Amino acid sequence: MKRGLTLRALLASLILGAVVVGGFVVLTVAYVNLHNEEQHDNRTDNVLVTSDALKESVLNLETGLRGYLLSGKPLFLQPYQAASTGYPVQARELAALTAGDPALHARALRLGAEVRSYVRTWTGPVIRLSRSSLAAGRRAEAGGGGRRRVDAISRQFTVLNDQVVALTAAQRSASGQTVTLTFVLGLAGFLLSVILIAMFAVALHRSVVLPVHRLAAAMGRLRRGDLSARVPVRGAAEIGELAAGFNSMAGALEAGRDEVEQQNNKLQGQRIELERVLVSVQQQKDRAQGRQRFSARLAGQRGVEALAQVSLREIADQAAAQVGAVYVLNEQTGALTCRAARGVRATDFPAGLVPGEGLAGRAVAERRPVAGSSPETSLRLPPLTGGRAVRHELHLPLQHRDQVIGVLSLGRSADAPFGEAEIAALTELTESAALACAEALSLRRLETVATELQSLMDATDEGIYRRDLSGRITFINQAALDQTGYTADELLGQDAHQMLHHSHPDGSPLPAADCPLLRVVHERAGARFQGDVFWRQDGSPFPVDWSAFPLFDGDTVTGVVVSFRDTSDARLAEHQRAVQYQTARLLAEADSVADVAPQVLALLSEQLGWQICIAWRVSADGRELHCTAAHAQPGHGDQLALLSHETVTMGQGTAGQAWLSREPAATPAGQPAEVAIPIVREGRLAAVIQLVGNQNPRMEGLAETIQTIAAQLAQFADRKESDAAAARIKDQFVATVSHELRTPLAAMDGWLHILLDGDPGPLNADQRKFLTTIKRNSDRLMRLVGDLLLIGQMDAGRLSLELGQVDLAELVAETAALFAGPAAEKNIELTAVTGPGALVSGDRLRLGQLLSNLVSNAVKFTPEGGQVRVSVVEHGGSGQVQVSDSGVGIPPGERARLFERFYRASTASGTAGSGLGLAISRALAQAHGGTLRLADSAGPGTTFILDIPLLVGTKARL
Amino acid sequence: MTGPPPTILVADDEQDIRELVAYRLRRAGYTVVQARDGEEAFQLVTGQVPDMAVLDVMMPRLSGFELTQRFRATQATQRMPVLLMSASVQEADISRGLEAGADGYLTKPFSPDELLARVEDLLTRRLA
Repeated sequence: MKRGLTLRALLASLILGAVVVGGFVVLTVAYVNLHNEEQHDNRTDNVLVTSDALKESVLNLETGLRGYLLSGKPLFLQPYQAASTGYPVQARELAALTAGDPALHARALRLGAEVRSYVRTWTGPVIRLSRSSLAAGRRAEAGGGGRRRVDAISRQFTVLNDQVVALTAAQRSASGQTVTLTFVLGLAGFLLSVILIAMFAVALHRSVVLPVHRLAAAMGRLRRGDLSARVPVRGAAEIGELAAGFNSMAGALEAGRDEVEQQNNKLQGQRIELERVLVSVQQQKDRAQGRQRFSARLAGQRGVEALAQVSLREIADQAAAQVGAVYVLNEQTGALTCRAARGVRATDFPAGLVPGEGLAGRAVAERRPVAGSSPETSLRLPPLTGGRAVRHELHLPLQHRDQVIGVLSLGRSADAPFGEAEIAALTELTESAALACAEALSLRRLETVATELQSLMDATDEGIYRRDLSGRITFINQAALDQTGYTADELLGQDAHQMLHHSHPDGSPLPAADCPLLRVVHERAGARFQGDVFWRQDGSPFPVDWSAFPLFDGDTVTGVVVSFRDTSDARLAEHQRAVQYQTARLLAEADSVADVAPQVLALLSEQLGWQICIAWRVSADGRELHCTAAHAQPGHGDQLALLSHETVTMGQGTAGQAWLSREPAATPAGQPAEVAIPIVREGRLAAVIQLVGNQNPRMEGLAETIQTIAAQLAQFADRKESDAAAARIKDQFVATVSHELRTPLAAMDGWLHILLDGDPGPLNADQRKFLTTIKRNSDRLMRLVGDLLLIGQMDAGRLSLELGQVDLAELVAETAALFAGPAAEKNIELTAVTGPGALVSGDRLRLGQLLSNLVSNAVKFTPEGGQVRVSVVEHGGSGQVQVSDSGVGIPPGERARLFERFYRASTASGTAGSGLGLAISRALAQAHGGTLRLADSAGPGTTFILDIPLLVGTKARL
Repeated sequence: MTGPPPTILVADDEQDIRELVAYRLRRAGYTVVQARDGEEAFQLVTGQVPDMAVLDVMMPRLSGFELTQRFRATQATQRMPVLLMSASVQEADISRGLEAGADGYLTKPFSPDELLARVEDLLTRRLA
């Protein structure tokens, strides 16, 4: 375990402290002892003094008494008096001084008591006796009692003194030993302390001072830049750590220094780079300033030519080029044409430039500067002034965005090729020139557009005006002025709503706040309005269709452009178109012209606003016009009756005039409106249409409309005629074929029947067999004729079905029974699965024919020993008949064509058939509102599925 | 059936058909009167009214339709059953025949049995 430096120092200090404290304690004890000794000595001295004083007082008492007794004179009593008052004090003092020693104290007390007793029992009574009788006193004295008492007391004093002196001597000897011991102990403590301090100093030196010294030395080396300085990791605790810390710090410093050196190297590199960049920036700045100056010069120019000239001058100056040219795109022709020249007259340059041709052309085509030197110089110039030729040339494309709008060509005669940096600098200037030229071109384009727009605005028949957000008109075109009757000065700056559009169509006021135009502004989307009215300068309204679209500047609506059209004429044309359209619709459903004529006249009357419309025809004798059809609006029936009952002769009234002139005729203005329009077909007057009474007669397009309608009618009549003729021919054909083919067949068939019935007589086997062969072929021929006739009827749309309730199940059972014989002949198992009944609406004969076709085919195409199955089920509202066989099947590729006429499957080649059966069957199914299709079957055999809609209400029966 | 066998007029310009019909009817026990066209048929009927007539539609001079109309317009033959025969299967022809007053319409070819069945049917109805 490592003890910390603090702990060690603390421990050492504790030990040292303990030693010092020990020494101090010893010395203190010694001192106290000595002090006690001294006090004791003092006290002993005091005891001796006091006992001597007390002894003297006793002596004074004796001598005073004796002096008095001897002399008899009271004067000699004076020492006695002093002693008798002093001795009690001295006795008490002595007692007090000896209090520390019981033996001495007892002796002192006894001594005091004996002195007091001597005074009270001797000297006092002797004195008092002497006063009364000196002689008696002397005698008492002479008895010697006093003397003995004093001697006794003196001996006592001597004992006391001896005791005190003995005690003192003993004590002196003890204290001398103590002092010696104390001295020895103090010396030993001192020595120990010195040794300990010395040890501590050594230890401190070794574990702290030395390592710190080494550290300081290493630090000094470090300071002097010797980063390799290290110290041994010795020394106690923190000092060791300090050394280790120092080492790692020095290591880190060394690593840091290495890194810093690297950084320094790098920084040095960067500084060099930076200086280089600074130079380059300065160059760029110079170039930018040059470019700015150049741009400023360009900004002062207007027009492509001026820009081209300034650009060429500046750039050529910069490039020290003696010749140069600028070609710029001509927007009209799309060609590059020469706009500026230097050193040579512009006319000496080629007028146009072909991209890709020559160096300049290459610069355009490749969109990059192209430089060339003398052998390949392509500036096709006449010899230059002074006979100097162009030695080097440079062609800079003028590019704006992605478009090349021209090229700037430079040539110089000095033998100084265009360097890369120079080309770059010139390219920059060219970019400015290109930008300026592009802007000039745009400006020119804008001016053109603006001019064209103005022309367009004036050319259109639509009235157009622009209003700002406050509603004031800021632009208006000629058509708008023409329609409204205002002049531009009267409208510009005025409120559009108040001037033009202040009412509803019915004339009631339309407040500006309700104007739908506000919605256009609000919703920022255009809108169209129909059936409105605008107002003219003269205060009259006119019907308009109008539209309004917001105008934007960026995202902000700045105004609205309104375009409007006077629809008075348009309305009329619309009505006229409506008559034509509705006539066509009437004709689509009509059988004859006579049927629709009154309706067409009614249309004319209602759509065009005429009270009475009459169609006139020339009479058989050609002398008069007769009414063939007429229409009157409610309330005008009487007038019509009057008009239509009369006949019209040529030249009489408007109708007669139209007949005569074969031109539309009308009553003069001011009279009740009436107009008559002749209809001429193939050079003959077919009819005259007379129109009477109109509040607001509009003649524009009227004759054309009526003649168009007449043509529609005539066309309809022609079509009906030819349809009927075609139908007649077809019917005739069918009837003829029917009769001419079937009649001989019928005779053959009938007689064969009679023969085979054995009516005229019995037949032998051969006869019967041959006749049967004839009969079979006759039947087949008959069926073919029947099929052909059926198809003829279908094509003519004349297939008639005798509809009745037919039970499909029953029919299927019957059909199956019909083919039981042929099936049995081929050993085919023919099964019919029929439900309780499936009622459909159909022609029993035709449905029977259909089923027969299917079952017949199935039997025909199924080899001997196979199966044919016929079933009836209800399926999705239909009666569904399925006829399946185990026959040869239909190859997948032929299934689609199976229902075509005269198509026969390849697998049917061995069997007789016309190829009409399935086509007829499908047509019959469709004529019944049903379908006939081939089931998708994977295996062999074929399944036909016939669906015929069930009679409503009979579904439950299945 | 009592009395003499019913007499049936058969009119058809097609001799093969006419004789076929006549043969079949005679074999069935009827008395048959034959005519080669409508005009002749009408002449024959004026003498003695047959029990019924089987007429071809398309005959020269007087068609089956016209002949039927004429029969209907004549007192004596007004109620005589008329069966029209035609090779035409046109719906219009059939309805035209019925409009003219015919009682039945038979399209060629027909089996002798079918002919007999229709004839017997009409004769029975007449008697009823």
